[in-house]
Amino acid sequence: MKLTILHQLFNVISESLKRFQCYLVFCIITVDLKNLTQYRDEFIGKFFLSYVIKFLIAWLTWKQIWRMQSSPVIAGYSYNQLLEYYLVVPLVLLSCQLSEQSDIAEEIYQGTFNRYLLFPVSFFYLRFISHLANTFVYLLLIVLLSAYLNPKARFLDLAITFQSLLVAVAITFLIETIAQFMAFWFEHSDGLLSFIRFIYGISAGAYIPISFFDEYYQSMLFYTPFPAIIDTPIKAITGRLTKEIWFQLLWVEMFWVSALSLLTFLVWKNGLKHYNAEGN
Amino acid sequence: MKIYWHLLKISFSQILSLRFSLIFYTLESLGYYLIVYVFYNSLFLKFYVLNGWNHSQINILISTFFLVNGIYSFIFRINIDKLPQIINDGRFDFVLINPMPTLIFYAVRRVFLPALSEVILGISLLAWSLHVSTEPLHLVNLALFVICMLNSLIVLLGINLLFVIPSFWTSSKAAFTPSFKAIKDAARYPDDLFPHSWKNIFTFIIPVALIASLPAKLLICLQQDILKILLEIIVGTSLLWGTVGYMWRLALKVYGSASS
Repeated sequence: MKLTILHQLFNVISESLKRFQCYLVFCIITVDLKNLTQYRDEFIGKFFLSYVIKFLIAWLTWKQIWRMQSSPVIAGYSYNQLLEYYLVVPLVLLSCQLSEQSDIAEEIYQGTFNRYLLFPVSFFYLRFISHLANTFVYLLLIVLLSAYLNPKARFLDLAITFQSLLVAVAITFLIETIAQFMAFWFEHSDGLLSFIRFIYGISAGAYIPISFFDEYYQSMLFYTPFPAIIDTPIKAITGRLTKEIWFQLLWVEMFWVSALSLLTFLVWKNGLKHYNAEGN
Repeated sequence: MKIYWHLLKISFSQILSLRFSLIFYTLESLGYYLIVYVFYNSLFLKFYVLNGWNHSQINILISTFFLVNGIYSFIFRINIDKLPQIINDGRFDFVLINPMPTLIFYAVRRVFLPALSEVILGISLLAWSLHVSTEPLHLVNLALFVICMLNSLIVLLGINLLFVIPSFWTSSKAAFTPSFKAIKDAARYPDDLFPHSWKNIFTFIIPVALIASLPAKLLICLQQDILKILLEIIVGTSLLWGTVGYMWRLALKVYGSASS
């Protein structure tokens, strides 16, 4: 009898905890979305205007470059495909990169990082959910753009697109988190984050598609986590990712997500030993 | 000058205490320039001439862009980037009560040391591009180029302010800074690459062509009509600073400390 009551009590507590977790996720998403709508002008300035300008300049320059050459295709891209590429790149990049609100390095430096250690949920869980909430609008725009660019997409294509985007978000989250954790050892590590963003920007195809690079570099990049950040999601969104290549890439992506997760965890564990919670 | 010298010393000591960031900012800047340089060179392997600009002329153009951008980043960038944040948390009050002209004092109060590497790289690349160039170099053109390059700094500052001043009206922490960075990229390309209507927009409305393209034209005598180029530069700069000056005065009237 006693055992049954205890069992029931355990069930009630675990259910409440589960509900609490779900409610917490809902709260994080709601707060972040409220922040986004509160700072509408920031959203317009950061995203909309710069997005339009970037696309405009890419369009004007590539239009002239295309006029000068005889072949309709450069590095496997036609003019329209290249424009589609530049239409999606800023969105994918914005949905992956950590926002300015997620400046862990600054919080470590200021000492406000303490609060994460006192929260009843895992730091990584909280940050990842918050990151997803911040990128929610961009992901929504990508879905709409995907429907426009690839109208013949079937359920499997949509699933591949979703998986590619999720991997892109996860890999960028892990890389940028490791860079920000360097603040446990060094004051102001923002230079490192900026440098890492630049490195993966080039290697992932943020400036020009990877297929414009030499074949030797392309084959080298295939085994790195970088193509998964921009190149693979864009190929999936525009319907240029074959299932064979997707399957090959999946193993590489899985390896890198696991390796980066392990590395993040190790850096976190060692970093906490150096953290003195005083602030500077 | 004495105040500025003290500000310079403070910003040098501040940035030298952050050596870790300094190293990576420097690496990033150098990497960015390397990529732009490789991008242009790979285009020339394919096209040889880019809308009337040959390889050595383009090298001079991008070296000019690197140099102007480097000097700009060294003197102004960090100050202007932080302006929206300072306005929104009310710290702009301290700028207003200083005994120097508000805009000048604010724009030059801190230097960004990592950009010094960009300046050195810009000077080296420009010297090398001029050395290997087949274009004849006249002293008059060189003198005009130096004057126009100083003007380019003022133009770049004006365009940046055009995107930052709206933060007096908004609660944004970054205002339209990402948009400025996006439009600045257009300065890397020759103005002749753009269709005629866009060329006019980039000369007189948002004058990014005045940053590197027109000064480079003066240096390489791409067009014999130097007077026309100078006139374009004067008109473009005047229109830009007329607008910026008007917006700045209007913004100062609107500013209401931390509540703005």
